[in-house]
Amino acid sequence: MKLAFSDEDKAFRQEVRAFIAAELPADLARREAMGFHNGRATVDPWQRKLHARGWAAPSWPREYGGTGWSPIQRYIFELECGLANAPEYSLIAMSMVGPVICRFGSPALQERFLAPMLSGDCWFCQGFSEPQAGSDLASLRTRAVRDGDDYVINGQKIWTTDAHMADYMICLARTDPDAKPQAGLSMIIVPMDAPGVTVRPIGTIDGDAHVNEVFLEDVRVPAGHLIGKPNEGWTQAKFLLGHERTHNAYVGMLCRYLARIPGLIDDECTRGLGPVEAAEYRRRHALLAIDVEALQWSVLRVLAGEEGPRLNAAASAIAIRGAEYLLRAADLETAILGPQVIPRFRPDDSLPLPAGAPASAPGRSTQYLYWWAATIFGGTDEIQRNIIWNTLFR
Amino acid sequence: MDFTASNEQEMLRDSARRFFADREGDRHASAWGSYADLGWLALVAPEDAGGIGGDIEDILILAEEMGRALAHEPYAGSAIVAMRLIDRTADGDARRELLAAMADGSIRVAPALYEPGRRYALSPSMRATGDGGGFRLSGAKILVPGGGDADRLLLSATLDDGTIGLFLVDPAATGTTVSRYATIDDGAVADVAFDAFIIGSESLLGRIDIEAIDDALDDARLALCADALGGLERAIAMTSDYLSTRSQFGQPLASFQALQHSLVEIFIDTDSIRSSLYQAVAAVHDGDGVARRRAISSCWVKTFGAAKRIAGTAVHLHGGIGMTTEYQVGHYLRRMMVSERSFGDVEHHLARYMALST
Ligand SMILES: Cc1cc2nc3c(=O)[nH]c(=O)nc-3n(C[C@H](O)[C@H](O)[C@H](O)COP(=O)(O)OP(=O)(O)OC[C@H]3O[C@@H](n4cnc5c(N)ncnc54)[C@H](O)[C@@H]3O)c2cc1C
Repeated sequence: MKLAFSDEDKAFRQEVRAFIAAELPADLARREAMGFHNGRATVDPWQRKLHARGWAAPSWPREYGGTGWSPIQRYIFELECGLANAPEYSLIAMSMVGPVICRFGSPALQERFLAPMLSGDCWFCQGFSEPQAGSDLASLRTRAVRDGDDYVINGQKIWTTDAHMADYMICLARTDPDAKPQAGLSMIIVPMDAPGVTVRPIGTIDGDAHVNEVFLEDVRVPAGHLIGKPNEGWTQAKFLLGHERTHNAYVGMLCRYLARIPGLIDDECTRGLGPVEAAEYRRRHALLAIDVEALQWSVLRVLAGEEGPRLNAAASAIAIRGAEYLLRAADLETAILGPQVIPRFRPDDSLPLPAGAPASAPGRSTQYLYWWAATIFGGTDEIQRNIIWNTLFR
Repeated sequence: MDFTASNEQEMLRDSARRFFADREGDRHASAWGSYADLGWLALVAPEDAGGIGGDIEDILILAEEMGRALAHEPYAGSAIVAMRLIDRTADGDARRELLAAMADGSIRVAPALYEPGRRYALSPSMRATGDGGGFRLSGAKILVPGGGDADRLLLSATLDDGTIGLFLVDPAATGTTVSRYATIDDGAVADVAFDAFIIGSESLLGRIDIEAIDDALDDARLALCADALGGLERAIAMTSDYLSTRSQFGQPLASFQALQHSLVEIFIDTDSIRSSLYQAVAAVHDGDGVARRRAISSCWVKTFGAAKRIAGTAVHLHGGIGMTTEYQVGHYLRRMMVSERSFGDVEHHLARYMALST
């Protein structure tokens, strides 16, 4: 055992840092730091720069256009992006759908989708959850019925992030109604502009716009859009959700918070924050930093494969703590800013700020509210705890 | 000591609950006139000025219902703070007439106390400089509750001799800029700026010290705690209902012990907020200024030290639906975020509590 980053890793970190410093547009970084949900047009320039550098897909195999980075290099990249306020771009395509197509898709699907995904010309949304099938995903009801050369899809998806700006949905649908719930599912690529697809936005309490309902009514897609073999969907979904197992620890985002909070406290000391409160906020920052430092090494242990058979449990554990720490970080920021986070700021920052609000205020309340969703999506805290119990103690 | 509500108090609670139930789909239309008709404004006004001079318990019963119903009218600001400040500062006929007009709803006054970059400081950096027979006002006030809909602003400014004056000004007058905007919980506030705005000497209602302003705020602080309590109790009831009706894995969510225990935890925390509110009310009746302030800060820390976590847990227990604006439970979380930093925050009140405990 030797717990130190290698010289190559350190050199890689410098390389990533230098690239981001040179290429990330300042206005994009400023918007990303505010923390509103990014529109496609906002992040597109960044994805194109990464693509030009060959860094668009950190987690794909090299032969499909990925970077071929080691897990530690991927971790360093995510951390540096987080620290530098570089946005996550087309997360579902790059981190989830891409790897599934690389692993299970036919050569025809790979040919058709992978290159445009890398260049940012093809965005995906993930259509798994349904009104009656959330935590109990396997009970989903959307049906895909073979009809000649097509599948005909009927059903409803909900909570579909970015459906309003995606080109395609990766849809988990039931292809064998007689099999056991998990055994009769398939993943099918649905063009969002196909006749019969209707997207309705859902307003969320953070005041931003990102999730949708998607209604599928006699939607016809070519049978070749089914990924792999029929009824393999559950295996693929588990592969997909588990692919970026450490992503839900949000270390990049957490380190971003930790890096900027001391400056926020100093700024507010010039705007009426008293020394007693400032000392308390510095203490809370230190306690959070200590927790995040341990979390980072939990992530590294998972990435290094050290956890072995306990991998599932370890991945669930860091997801639970990741969401908890995000809430603590965002709560601390709103506390530091005090009454200045009360106004409803708009992602469109062409609106003038209220007299009492510094430039650091927009997005702070929105992010706090949004992070409650991190205790829900990608498997709720309770479901993660069930996984840990079932893996380790049952 | 009597823990049961009187008949009158039961009637007050019932009528409030009925009123808010009737205007459910219509939460954003102004209800200030109805508040006046129902006697809720007079409840705060003193008896010698057309009011009812209600007990603090009555006001808190009402505030609890307003929190439950997510009511948007600035009751804590325009009824409680404004009337308490005017009651303390104005004199004679001016005092009586103004309070009577506020109690019957014909004049709505918004308190403008806080300033940009000064957090919860009550000492005004806004200046009222003597100018001929009147004053010249310069400076800005922010986050004025209901400031965009008020007939008059009640603002604090430092006079030439260093004392603090309370002024009543017309927001529509030239020299005044009112910018209204929404808060994260769908409330409406305004920033007000004055640029060498000239007012007559009659605009000065009287002088007041910071401690008296803080005392006037204290009743409103208790009302915000009661408002939060009502909201949290409602959020818990909604969550309990939802867990019984929603099934996953072929069984009601309410059958999972992990969820039962989470719900019980936030119930315990919410119920202890009620106890904390009662200790503060008892201290208000005792009349000793220091004990009263300390007890109110105690209640504030107890309430808002837990409120967001309680409301957030209620959201979490709902799953995705809890995050939506169409569903009510998430609105309580947003309201807690605003209430917890109106009139001071947890750190501010913890510091006040500690200072008063030595
Ligand atoms: C902002 C946001 C974005 C999302 N984006 C997407 C997306 O892009 N694509 C997609 O497919 N889905 C998405 N989701 C959906 C998300 O995956 C689901 O919300 C999640 O799986 C929970 O399902 P549910 O909302 O139906 O809650 P439910 O499953 O009904 O859960 C309600 C509560 O019950 C608890 N519970 C459920 N079962 C158990 C159990 N066995 N034991 C103990 N407790 C239990 C849960 O933990 C939760 O607290 C998103 C959700 C949100 C909020």
